[in-house]
Amino acid sequence: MESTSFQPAQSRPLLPGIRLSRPAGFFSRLEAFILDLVILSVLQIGGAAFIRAFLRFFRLNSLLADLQSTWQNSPYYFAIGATVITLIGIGYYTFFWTLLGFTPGKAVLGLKVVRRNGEKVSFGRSLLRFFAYWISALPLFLGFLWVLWDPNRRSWHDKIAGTQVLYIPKNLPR
Amino acid sequence: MQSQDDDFPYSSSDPSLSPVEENATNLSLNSQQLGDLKASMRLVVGSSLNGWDAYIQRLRQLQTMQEPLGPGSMVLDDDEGYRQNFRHLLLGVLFETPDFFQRLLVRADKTSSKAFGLFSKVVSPFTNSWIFSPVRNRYDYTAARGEKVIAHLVRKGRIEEQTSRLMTQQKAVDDLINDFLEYVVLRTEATQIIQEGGIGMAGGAIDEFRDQSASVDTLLEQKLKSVFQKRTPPSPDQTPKNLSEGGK
Repeated sequence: MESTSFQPAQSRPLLPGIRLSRPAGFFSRLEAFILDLVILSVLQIGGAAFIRAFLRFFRLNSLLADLQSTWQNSPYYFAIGATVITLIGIGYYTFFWTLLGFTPGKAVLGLKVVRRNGEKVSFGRSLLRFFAYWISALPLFLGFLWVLWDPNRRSWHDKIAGTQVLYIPKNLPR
Repeated sequence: MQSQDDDFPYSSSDPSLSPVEENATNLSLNSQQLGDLKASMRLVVGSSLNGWDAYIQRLRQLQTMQEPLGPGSMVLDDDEGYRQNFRHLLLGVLFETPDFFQRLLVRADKTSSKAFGLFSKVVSPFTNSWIFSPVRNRYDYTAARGEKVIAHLVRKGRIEEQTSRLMTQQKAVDDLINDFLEYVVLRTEATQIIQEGGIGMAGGAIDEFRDQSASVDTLLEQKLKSVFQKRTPPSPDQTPKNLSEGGK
């Protein structure tokens, strides 16, 4: 884990239109995280409802019923469900972090995930950060709470992925 | 329209009809605002009524266009799966419900009429007696007053319905709406004002939300630091400067 204090990089080029700001605190990040969870849940429930309605519309109820019965009797039922949910989560977080630097929840709170030098987060780093979430969550979410007393407001997943969450300055386009 | 209202015995100044008089001064609208409000209400009512009429008209047209199906022209498959069966059961319930409620309403109407007749017959010796006369007078007065109020409201509703229908049927309303849309579409300033207004309002609220969250961030950390500072005294090499670096 890195222990150097946060220093805005002067020599490296920053993202166009984004000036490094203060590191974001725990509460803002928690709110953004909860918002993202809500959005993800709505997406998953909405997606499932849409697929169900789609199948019903085309009179494929029996297929749905067969799938359900096969799944529910399968010993891998939980594993399959967890994998699907994780894949959706990976897609959601890596897509937004890589493409925009913020998820919709972070956008509402005006937060942005950047590398330590202020550069954009790559796909690999986003993926690493996502899996590092689990490491942060394992010891009773201690990795998330670490933001509270870390001098640079960095969580474990930030330290592992070499990232930093910053407030986006108000006067810049979000 | 005002002249027809003049004969209504209970005006808005009647204390019995305005029990919250002291609040009325704060909430009262001037005649212009009241007129605007009424016009808006007429527009909504008129549009709804005309829209509903048009919908019913089209529905009836569709029904007349539909060829009647004879018993022999339908292919009914009784040998269907239980899912299909359940679906048809639900559909049957759906279409049977209006008939059921219609029969229920007729029966309820008949029963209530009978019950009321019976009740009136039973209590008539008492209600027609001299003991009951003060109450009866009061009851008759209240009933008459209620009838008047209801008659007034019915008449008002009838007039307003006609006015609202006319208002939305008039070409002037169409022109007004078209003019407004044209203005909004063609005038970039108007579009800009609408967009900026919406975004500005949302943006302002979001900014405030973000600021408050950021304040809570700092507050939480300060609280946490104060707890740690109380419990563990700082080491000699820890200067106040080093301690204060945390919140950056």
